Amino acid sequence: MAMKKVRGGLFIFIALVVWLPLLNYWFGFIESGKLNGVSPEKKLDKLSWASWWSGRYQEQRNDLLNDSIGFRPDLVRLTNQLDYTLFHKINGSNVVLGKDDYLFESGYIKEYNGIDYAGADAIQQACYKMRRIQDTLEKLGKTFVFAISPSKAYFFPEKIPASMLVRGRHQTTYTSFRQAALSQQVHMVDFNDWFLKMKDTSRHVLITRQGIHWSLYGATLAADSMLRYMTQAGVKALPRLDITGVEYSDEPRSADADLGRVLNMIYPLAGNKYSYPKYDYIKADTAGQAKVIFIGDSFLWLWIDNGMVQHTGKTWEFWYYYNTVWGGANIEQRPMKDHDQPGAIGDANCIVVMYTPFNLGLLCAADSFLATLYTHYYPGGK
Amino acid sequence: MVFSSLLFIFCFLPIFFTVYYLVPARLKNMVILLGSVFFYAWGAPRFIFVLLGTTVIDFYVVRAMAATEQQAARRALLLLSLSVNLGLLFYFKYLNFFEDNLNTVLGWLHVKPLTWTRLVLPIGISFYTFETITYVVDVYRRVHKPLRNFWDYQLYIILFPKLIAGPIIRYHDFAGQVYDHLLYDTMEYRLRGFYRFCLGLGKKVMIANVVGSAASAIFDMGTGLDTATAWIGAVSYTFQIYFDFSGYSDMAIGLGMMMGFRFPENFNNPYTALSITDFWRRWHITLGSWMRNYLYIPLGGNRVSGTRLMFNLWLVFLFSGLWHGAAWGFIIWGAYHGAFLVLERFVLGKWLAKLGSAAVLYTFPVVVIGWVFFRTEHLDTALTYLHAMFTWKPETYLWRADTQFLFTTALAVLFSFFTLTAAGKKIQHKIFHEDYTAPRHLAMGLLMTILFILCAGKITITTFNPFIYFRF
Repeated sequence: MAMKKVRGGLFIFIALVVWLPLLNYWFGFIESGKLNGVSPEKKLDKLSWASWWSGRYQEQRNDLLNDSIGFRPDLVRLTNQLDYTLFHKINGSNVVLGKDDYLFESGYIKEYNGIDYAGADAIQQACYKMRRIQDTLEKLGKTFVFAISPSKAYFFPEKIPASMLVRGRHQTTYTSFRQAALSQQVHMVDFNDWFLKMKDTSRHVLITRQGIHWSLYGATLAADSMLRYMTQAGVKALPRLDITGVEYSDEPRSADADLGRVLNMIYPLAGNKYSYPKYDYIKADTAGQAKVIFIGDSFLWLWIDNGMVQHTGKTWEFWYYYNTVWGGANIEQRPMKDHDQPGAIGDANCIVVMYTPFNLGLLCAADSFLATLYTHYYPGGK
Repeated sequence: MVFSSLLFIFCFLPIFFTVYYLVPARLKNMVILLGSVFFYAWGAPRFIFVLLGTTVIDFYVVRAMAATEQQAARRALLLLSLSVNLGLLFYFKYLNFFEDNLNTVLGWLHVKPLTWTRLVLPIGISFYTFETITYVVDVYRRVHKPLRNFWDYQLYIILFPKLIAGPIIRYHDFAGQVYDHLLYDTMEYRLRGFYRFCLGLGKKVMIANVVGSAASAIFDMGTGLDTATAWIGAVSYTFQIYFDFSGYSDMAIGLGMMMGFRFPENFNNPYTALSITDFWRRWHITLGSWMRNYLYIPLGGNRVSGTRLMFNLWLVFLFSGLWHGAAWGFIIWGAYHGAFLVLERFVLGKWLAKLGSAAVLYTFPVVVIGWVFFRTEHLDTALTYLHAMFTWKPETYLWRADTQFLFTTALAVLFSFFTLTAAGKKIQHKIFHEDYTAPRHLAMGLLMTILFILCAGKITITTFNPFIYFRF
């Protein structure tokens, strides 16, 4: 009798365990919370002979179930936590666990190692085009600035796992771009170099342990520096950034733990003592408004988070990876191909191109901003 | 649909078994049949018709064969059924290989190569074709009467736990279970079946996938491999294929038990084998059994001259290799094992017998080296890899083991060899063969549920989840 009860009880217990995720998927009675990280929206075909016969219907339903089955976030967090606790292993696409739990994105380390080097000729060509564009824009009364945002791999090389470091001297896309831009006398602001110089003396965290971008504090310092540079270069009506104080927090804001968040663990990795500047934007004395176009990668989002981009003028534009446009007055998010680029540049006072070393190679592409604008100004290359 | 997927463990499994346990006994076989058709059609919407079509042809051809007493007619119908089944197997599985090799020869002769639309392999075709052959031949040999009911025959072939990757169940071993499995549909069998399923799932997800990931990374490195890493890759693949395939077999056996079916064992600690001959009594047992009953014995078995026996042994293993895949690597792997079998039969056997358990130190490396041909599938790639294994090259640090790999490999070694000890044999017997007490049920129930949840978690986050034997 006891054996019968044990078997019966086990059977019901096991049946519940196996059934619960599907029941929760259907009825949603227990909320597991969302996972961090972006997944692209998936298309779902209706059931039809064609979709079944081709296997498309089944594949899409498999994917849907994989992404939505009940308790999925809990299963993911449990597995990630166990992998970290038992094996010191993280499960994040392209995320590398460095020494002292410093997180890196693998592409940044590859660039630091000189892997996927863009090539000296391509880089020279890109910087040559930059110089000519700079000159043309100057004749039109516009300022061009080329900026390099910091790379965590250059900032914390001592935290990169030894097994991932390439020994010996090697050329990198960053060092080549820096040399070529200097030799072409391009107006360049090298935040990567500046941050390295400040690393040992800064009282505040410039790049966080769990983030891949500059910290909000570091981004604000850089924003202040960029505003001053643009003003000195002749861009009128730009505000001044007045940093009035710093508050501290154990909780990360903005992108200060962007890598750490996508690890989706039960107990997040230890972060930093985060510093968050208090600041105001002081309007310029001169009348009128500047129009600045910012072209670059995700580091520019921190300048939107701290308001620098928006305070340059109401008609600011952000050309994200030269792929998607965001803007101030009357510009809704749109693809680059639908945007009036010549018109926008015609109205602009200043164009800032800023990429982190990992993304500098994009400037060498045949469809890059540089190539497109160069062709516009110099058709046939003349 | 694969067993180690969220779709199977959280959708198909609960829905199917709930319906199965709730319907009256007279409807249970129909539920299995419908569930099996859905299971196969989900993953292979086109090939379900090939499968259903061949089962219709085979059933009626075999019925006609059993109904006639004329030997010539019986033989003709036997040949018809074998031609259809082996013809389809050749068409889908070997025609691409045949065309590639023919084009190579045509190239040597400076003749224009043939062009051909590459064919996709229906999943499980190698397994269900061999099962069909056992049905046809066993009826022909009058070992068993044919099934009277067409749906019973469909059930035998399409039964989903073993449809995709075995075990290969001889008709003779299954015939009685078509209806008597209902007598074994007990709570004890359901629970023991679930435990077995979870053990198999754990072998696949927690061990095979981890070591397999390392094996793939190392085998993909090509040239420049250092000696130590080459050996790590080969040994990792050795464990991957064992835990992957035996894990799948455990899941199939477990699912069968949950319905009252008793499938034959397919593995018996093969890496503890004391010779290659012994290895083949422990590895993919149902394939070995099939080859013995339907190829080796018809060729004469042991009752032939020494030379003919050598040839028979070697030929059987050549075909075993070919069964696994249409590539020279598989054929060479089969021939390699065949050569060792012949060697042991005529030369090495008595020396190995003197070594006792130490003979594992001979068998295991021989098997590991054989897997290199299997994994690379092509002779030139295999030779390059073996060159890396057997010529000294210091460590290049292109690949490094992490803690998870080391831990998982240690588990793989433990579970592969623990039955070499008396304690290990005892534990295995307790888990798989002894009756369970209530405390043992509670312990196993809890442990297996935890394992099930951990595996579900792994499946959720992992993107590396291929079944090796799925391709066959």
